[in-house]
Parts: sequence; structure tokens; C-alpha cells
Amino acid sequence: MNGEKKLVVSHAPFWHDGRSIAARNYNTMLAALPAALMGLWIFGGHALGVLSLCIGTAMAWELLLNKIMKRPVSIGNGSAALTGMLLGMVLPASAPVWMVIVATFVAVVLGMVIYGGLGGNPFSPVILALAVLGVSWPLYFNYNYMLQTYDTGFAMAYPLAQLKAFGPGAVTQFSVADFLMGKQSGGIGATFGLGLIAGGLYLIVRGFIRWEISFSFLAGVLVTAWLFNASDSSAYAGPAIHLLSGYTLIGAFFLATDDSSSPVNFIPMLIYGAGAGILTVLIRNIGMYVDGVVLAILLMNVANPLIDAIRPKALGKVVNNA
Amino acid sequence: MAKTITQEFTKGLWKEIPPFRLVLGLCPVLGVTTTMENGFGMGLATTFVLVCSNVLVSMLRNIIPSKVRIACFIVVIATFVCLVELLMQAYAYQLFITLGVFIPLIVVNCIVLGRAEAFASKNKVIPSFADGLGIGIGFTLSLAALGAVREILGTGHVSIPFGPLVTLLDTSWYPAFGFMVKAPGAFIGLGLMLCLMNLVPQK
Repeated sequence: MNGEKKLVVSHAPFWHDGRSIAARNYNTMLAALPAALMGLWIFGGHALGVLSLCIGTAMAWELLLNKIMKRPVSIGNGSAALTGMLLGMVLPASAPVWMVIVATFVAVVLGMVIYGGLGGNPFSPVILALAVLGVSWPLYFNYNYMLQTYDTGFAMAYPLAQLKAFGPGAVTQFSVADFLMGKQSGGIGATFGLGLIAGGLYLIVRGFIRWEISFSFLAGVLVTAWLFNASDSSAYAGPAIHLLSGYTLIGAFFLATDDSSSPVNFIPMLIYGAGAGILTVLIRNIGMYVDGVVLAILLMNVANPLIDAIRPKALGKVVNNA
Repeated sequence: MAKTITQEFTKGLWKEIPPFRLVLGLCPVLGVTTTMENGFGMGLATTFVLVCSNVLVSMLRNIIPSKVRIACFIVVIATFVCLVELLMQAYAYQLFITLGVFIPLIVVNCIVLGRAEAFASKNKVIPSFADGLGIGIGFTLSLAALGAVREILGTGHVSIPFGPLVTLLDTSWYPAFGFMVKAPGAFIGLGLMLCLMNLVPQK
């Protein structure tokens, strides 16, 4: 009786419904599976190699660090596997082996373990790894690079790169149906719009991610892209392209909603999502980078503690004499 | 209690090695260690200022009124920074151009001011000299080490200070990890080196 814990106090966030971390992670992987399978079907064997290597090395890094730091082995809860899977889904199928290994090192070791592991990471690990890869190896981390080795039966130019280089006229060949069915170049699991939306809705319905973040992210992208398009439709593409190409969907449902790097209160979640969405389109339309999702989410991750400080005032505060 | 001169000298080389044990003077550590040569040159310039200001502050320690001591230290340090700046313009112009604004910034380097305040203003001239030299050499070694790590990972070659450029990893098969020579690479490199230093048990 004496040894029994009467009160357990832990860190925020406090969403809890009795399900374990492992259940959450495996459900998220399940939700991401349709998009990943579609990617494997489109991009073939190389994609399978990249995705498997990502999951495998992510778990291996975590196991290695667990051993080095003499912590309990934590790969069973699936967080490393999920990180590896999401990372694999945004890499190009042509990613070389060494790049995958460095990417998982950055995501798992620099992004999670050294900040104290699961729940302590200030950035979404996948986003962090993407930012590092984009800065270091733009040549290999490039979706047009795949053109050289692939014949998939549809236009293999990366829509956002086309948009950046040649203006909106260059992307009229893509229809909304193409985007939804994954007939575009991009990350292995980031092209199949329908699968990502279905996976995201599944996660929202089951309560694994918060709808506020995903929907405000998409709304931010939609409104900003629409405003740009309305102001000058010859220079800026319409909202459909911004919503359905690049990392927008996987970002909205899987990356921006990372637990420990996103806010927990209602208003902050809306600000966080909308801010990332607005920044995404701003970077795409007037910045120098092709896709703004990575840097937009990274920036909002940094701002997260500040945004999350916006909260309702506590009841019972002293009121000045009326 | 009183330490010998040798102890004052050697503590700066390992036990109190500035950026890794004291975690002071991080501005140049993060700013100029893109190559080994830059780090080494910055360390030498800082060492010169550190030794000279330590000696002078120690000489003046009974004259300087304690209320305005920080201002007096700054004047002394700034004098030697001007000196080192002019010397580098004369004899190491290329390095002077590369290091740029970080040379004048030695004035506000917390290591220099920290040693003046914490050591030189309380000790005799000879120990202050040994302290300044030890800390300075430790700082130089740390900067050169961090610079070498970042340069090798980031570009594949390493610039031996005042020597040739040695190619260790040929870029024909080594895809240079360009992230390491950019600003965030400095933080990550320094953080990982701090982590390694902390793994080594301290006596």
C-alpha cells in the first residue's frame, strides 16, 4: 500500500484517453500506409529500398543510442519506426543509401534522442532532417533528379519546381485528379493526395491528431494561395496546386501535428497551423525555395512555446475595485 | 592552496579549457570555425590579447579603483585588440579579411574579460601570465579542433594553419556535408563536442 503512487504528475500535453504511445504510433503508421503503398507501386523497387532503409536505420539509431546512453530500450513504442517511415515518405525514390542513413541520424539522434527522446523534441524530427538534407545536398534531394532513371507513364517533372521555374502556365498539364491519384513527381509517399487525406481523416476521427492544426494549416495555404492568385493569376498558381502538390498534405496531417512540437490549446493550435500554412505559400510564391512546407513548419516549431503561452486567463484572479 | 605556476598554465589546457569546460566566448567559437585555419588564427589573436591584458591588468590591479574596474579592463583589452588588428593587417592580411568583424569583437569576448576580472585582478603578474597563456592555448586548440571537424565533414579537406590545404576525403566519392560549414552546423558541432567532453569523466 505504501509503495502505491497516489498522484502522478507529468508534463503537458495532457491529451490522454488510455491508449498507449505504441498504439498511437502504429495507428499513425497505418494511416500513412495507403499513401506509402501507392508510392511503392508508382516508384517501384528503389522506393521500397529507401523506405525500408529509413525505417530500419531509424530504429537502429535509436537502439544504438539507447545502449550508449544506458537507457531502457525504447524502439518497441514505434516512435523511431514512425519517424523513419514518414521520413522515407518524403524522400525521393532516387535517394542514395548514405543520404538515407544520414537523414535518419539527423532525425532520430539530433532531432529526438539528444533532446531527451520521445516527447522532448522541440522540432518535428522529420522536418529537421529534411531541412538539413535540403541545405546540404540539393543535388540528391531533388525530385527532378528521378527523371533520369524512371519511366512511369506520366509527366515526371516536380510540379512545384516547374511552377518556380516557368510560372503557372507550366503546371496546367496537371489536373486535380492527377494530384489526388499520385500522378506527379515528389516524395515516395507524398504524392497520393487521396491516401494522405484518408489517412489524415482517420487519425482525426480516432483522435490521434488534432483537427485544429491540420485544418487551419490547409486553410492558411488555401486562403493565401487564393489571395495571390486573385491578385495576379498570370504570376501565381491557384490554390489547388498549392494544396495538392509538394508536402502540403503530408505536412498538414503527419508532420505539423507532431505531438511535442505543436501547441495544445485551441487558439494556439489555430495560430500554429494557419501560420505554417501562410508561410508555406509565402515561401513558395516569393521566396527562393521550391517548397516552403519544411521551413514554415520548422519556424512555427520554434515559435511553438511562445504561441502556446496564449491561453485563457486563470479563474479567480484579483479584480481591481470596481 | 596556492597553485604553482605550472598548474596555472596547464589548467587552461584541459581542466578549464574555455569553450568546452567554461563554455565562455562562444561568439567566435560559433562564428569563425568554418575552417581549421580560421579557428587557429582567431585563437592566436585571442591568446595575444589575453596574455597582454592579463599581464597589464595584473600590474595595475592595485591602482584600478574597484568601482570602475570593468571600464578600465575594457580600455586595456581594447588597446591590445587594436594592436592585434593592426598587426594582422600588416602580416596576415588574408586572415584579417576572413575573420572580419570578429577581430574587433575580441574586446567583448567573455574569456578575456572573465580572466581579467576573475584572475588577473587578484593575482601577481607571473601567475596571470601563465593563466592567460594556458587559457589562450586551450582556446586556440579548441577552435582549431572544432574548425577541423566542421571543415573535414563539410568540405572534405582541411586547411593546416599557415600550411597547405590537405584533402582527406575526396569529393569525387565523398558527398560533402555542406550543413556543417553553415551556421547551424556550428551549434550542432559544438554541442556534440561538449557532449563528448562531458562523457570523459572529470577528476
